[in-house]
Amino acid sequence: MLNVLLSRLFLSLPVLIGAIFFGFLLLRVVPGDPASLLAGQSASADVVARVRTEMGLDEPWILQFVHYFGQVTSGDLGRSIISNRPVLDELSEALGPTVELVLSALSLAVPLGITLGVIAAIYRGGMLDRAIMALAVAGISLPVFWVAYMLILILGVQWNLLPFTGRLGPIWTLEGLQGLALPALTAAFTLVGPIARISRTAVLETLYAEHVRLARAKGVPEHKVVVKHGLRNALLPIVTLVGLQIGHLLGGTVIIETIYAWPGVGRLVVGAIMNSDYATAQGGLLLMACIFVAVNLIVDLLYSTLDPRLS
Amino acid sequence: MTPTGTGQSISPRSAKRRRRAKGGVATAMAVAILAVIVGVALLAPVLAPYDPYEVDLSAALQPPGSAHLLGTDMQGRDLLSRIMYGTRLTLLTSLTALVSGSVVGALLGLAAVFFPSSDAVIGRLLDILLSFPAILFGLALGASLGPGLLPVTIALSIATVPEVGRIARAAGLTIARQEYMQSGRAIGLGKTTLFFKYLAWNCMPTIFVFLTLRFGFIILLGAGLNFLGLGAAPPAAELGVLAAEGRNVLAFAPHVATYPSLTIFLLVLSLNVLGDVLRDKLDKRLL
Amino acid sequence: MTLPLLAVDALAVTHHGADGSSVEIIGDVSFSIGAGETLGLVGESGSGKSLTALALMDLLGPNLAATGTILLRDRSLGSLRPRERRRLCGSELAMVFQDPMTALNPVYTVGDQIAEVLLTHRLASRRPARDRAVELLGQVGIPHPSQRVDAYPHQLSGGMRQRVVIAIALAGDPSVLIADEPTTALDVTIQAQILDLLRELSAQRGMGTMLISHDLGAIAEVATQVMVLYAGRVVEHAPVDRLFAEAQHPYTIGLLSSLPKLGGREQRLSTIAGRVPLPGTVRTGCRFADRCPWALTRCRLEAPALTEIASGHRVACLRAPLLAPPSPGMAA
Repeated sequence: MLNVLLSRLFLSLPVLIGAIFFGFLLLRVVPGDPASLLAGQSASADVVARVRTEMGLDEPWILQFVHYFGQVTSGDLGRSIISNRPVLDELSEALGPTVELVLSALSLAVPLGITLGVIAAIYRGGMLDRAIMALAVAGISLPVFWVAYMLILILGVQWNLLPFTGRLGPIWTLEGLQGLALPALTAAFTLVGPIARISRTAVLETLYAEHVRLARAKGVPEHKVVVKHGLRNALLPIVTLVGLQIGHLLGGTVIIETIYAWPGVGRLVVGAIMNSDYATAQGGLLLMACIFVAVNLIVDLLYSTLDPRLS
Repeated sequence: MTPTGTGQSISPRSAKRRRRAKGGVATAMAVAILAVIVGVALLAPVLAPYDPYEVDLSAALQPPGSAHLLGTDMQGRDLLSRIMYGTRLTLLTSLTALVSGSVVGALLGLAAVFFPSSDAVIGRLLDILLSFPAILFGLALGASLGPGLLPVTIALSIATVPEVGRIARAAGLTIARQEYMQSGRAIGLGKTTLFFKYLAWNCMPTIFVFLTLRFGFIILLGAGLNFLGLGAAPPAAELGVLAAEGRNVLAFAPHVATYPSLTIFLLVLSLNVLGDVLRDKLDKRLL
Repeated sequence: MTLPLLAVDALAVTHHGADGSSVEIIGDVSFSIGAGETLGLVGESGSGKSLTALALMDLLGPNLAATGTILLRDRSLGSLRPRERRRLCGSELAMVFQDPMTALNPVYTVGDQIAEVLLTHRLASRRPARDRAVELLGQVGIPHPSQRVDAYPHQLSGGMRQRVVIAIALAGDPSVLIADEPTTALDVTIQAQILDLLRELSAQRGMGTMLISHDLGAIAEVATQVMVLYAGRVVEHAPVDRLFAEAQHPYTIGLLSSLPKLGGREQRLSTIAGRVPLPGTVRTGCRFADRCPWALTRCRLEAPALTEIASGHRVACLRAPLLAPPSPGMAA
């Protein structure tokens, strides 16, 4: 298992380097002087000059990139011109809430989605199957913001059940959970549809495999056949495909964090962009890319534990 | 032919006949909805009852009624007209992004097949692009170039390239192995002809079906970026922007946010349904 | 007289199309297997051999329906509810599948898959089931069974995997064992070993075995009685020695003559011209008539019934038993 981890890490390197490179390009593509952009609108001329020499912005491009690379890997991501705090600090504070949101969405959506998909597969062609699949298609067609709006309107405003602004505490407190509920539900909502569809297809394909026939020939009752021999084997493609959905989930969190004022990385980045806080924007984007790579690594590891042919 | 013997069925379950629902109703409805939305968007200048930018504060936040079929927003602008023009803009940006992204993506993917030596580079490039969530491109371009419709369109386009590239490459690999490619080469057809008429043309159906499925996603992504404020600036009418505008008045005037969102939903839903139907038809043809 | 372990009467399998049409794939198949006997079921691809096995095990696909009578000793399988029917599988009736690579589940150990039979039918609890799995692995000839029991299928060779499949089939101590092309996916040398194994086990345990194969050599080695299927119908059914020595149906004769013989003086392998008719295409007369060198006009009009021409020897041919003993090589 260790070599799987190492080899996957190794393969992720180009992606990470690519992300750093794109972050580097970001500021160079902008019209204007990168130094004054980083220093901020209101900076004086010598502050700008100091930033220029500090960041090495008067050096040839290759050297600039090397310099930048070194900075990033040693944790120096610059300073936010809004809060005047190191970007690294802002990011580490924002990371927790985003992780909470992503994990709770996954823990809600994955079991529900897989269950619905399995049910649809078992009752293939029947009313239940078509209903679930219709809901799934509707689910992937709904804009994230509208799901949020509906949940806020119904659960937040009309029934006054749950709060919908901001993070009210860490996840292990009651207030924290209450604040997390609506954002997590919104995110889970967007995931259930794709997961149900993926699970249905995967289970259907497995149910026609020869080893399932053998299981039936052994006399294993049908419900056990579906779970032990169908679902268990279908988990392999399900895990892979759900892993691909993580990217969409991350995209959705940006909008969700904005609507619910959830203090996560997505909201930080959007705010930074609107305020021309380039250093924070750059750092935030890099962090998002890293989160994405990390999640994919976890998915890969999970896959290798599920499939004995890989260890 | 009737079986001889007692005729007793010994596998009662398998004797049930499965009726396959054609799902034709869903397809027809999807096409109808799509036609209506696109038609209205195209004819917006003719059909819209009001000027979408005309402000009338005395008529602000009116619920749907006879004067304004879908109500008005917080500046008294007619919501229906704004939605019509908004759909126009949404469709325009998404379609531009989709087409430009697919052309680039398809060319890259097919080039990787046609010139195998470039496959390593192009393959890696596509992989790296593919491994980023699409929204990152929107955010990154928003950061460098500032908010605007052009950065959003470029971002959507970049987001389309790797997926189309991968599909094109896969389809191309299958086609390239077919014998008519080799016979084309054998009779001395020029590289351009081979590339376009043989390889690209035969990959069209697969790519096209993928695009139908992808179109909905691009529309959602574009609306999302506009919603965040990274796209068209107010007072422009774009469906995502309209939805964002309705946020502050959600509790007491939900129609302002709901109708634009509903339009997006119907548009994307019909595209997804059609895409699924087309993909099933394509699979049946290939199998 | 003791009851045969398995008695099948007029088994037919029909395919029901989505548009309501139905096509009979196999029809009027009857046979019985007693303890210690092995029925060899011979036929080309598409003759319906596998469907027969699947019908017995109630494993037919969604559009297929079976009719007829199946008696397991004195119980009629048709009168059972699906759940009861499923319970018989693995305990009374067992099946050995053709391709061990796809038949075994890649994510469970072979020991688990064998033990599953015992646990499903409540024949043992977890620990004893595992011990029994080790025992069975030994009985099917796998070396170091106590180590192999925790192996995954991909860690074993093809021959060993097939032995595992056989062990799974035997785990429930079945009365009837159905082996569907058990050696086709294996190397020739392994084939012989597996056939020997099947023969030994059948004798030792007093099981009734059905061996399905297109390989006449395998049938000759293992079977006690042979049934020849053509286009979904039984054309000949005889004790093994009689079939190979005095086959009466033109199709069987053709099959036997097409076997290459060592030391023979023929320059060419003989063949049977033509192709097997698709299900539902032959309306009247004998299905083999178009390819039969002995065919008369009568053969195309009147479908021959299976008639007993000698003790235990049934043939579906209008011209039997008027045929002379088969001559070497049949006119192509």
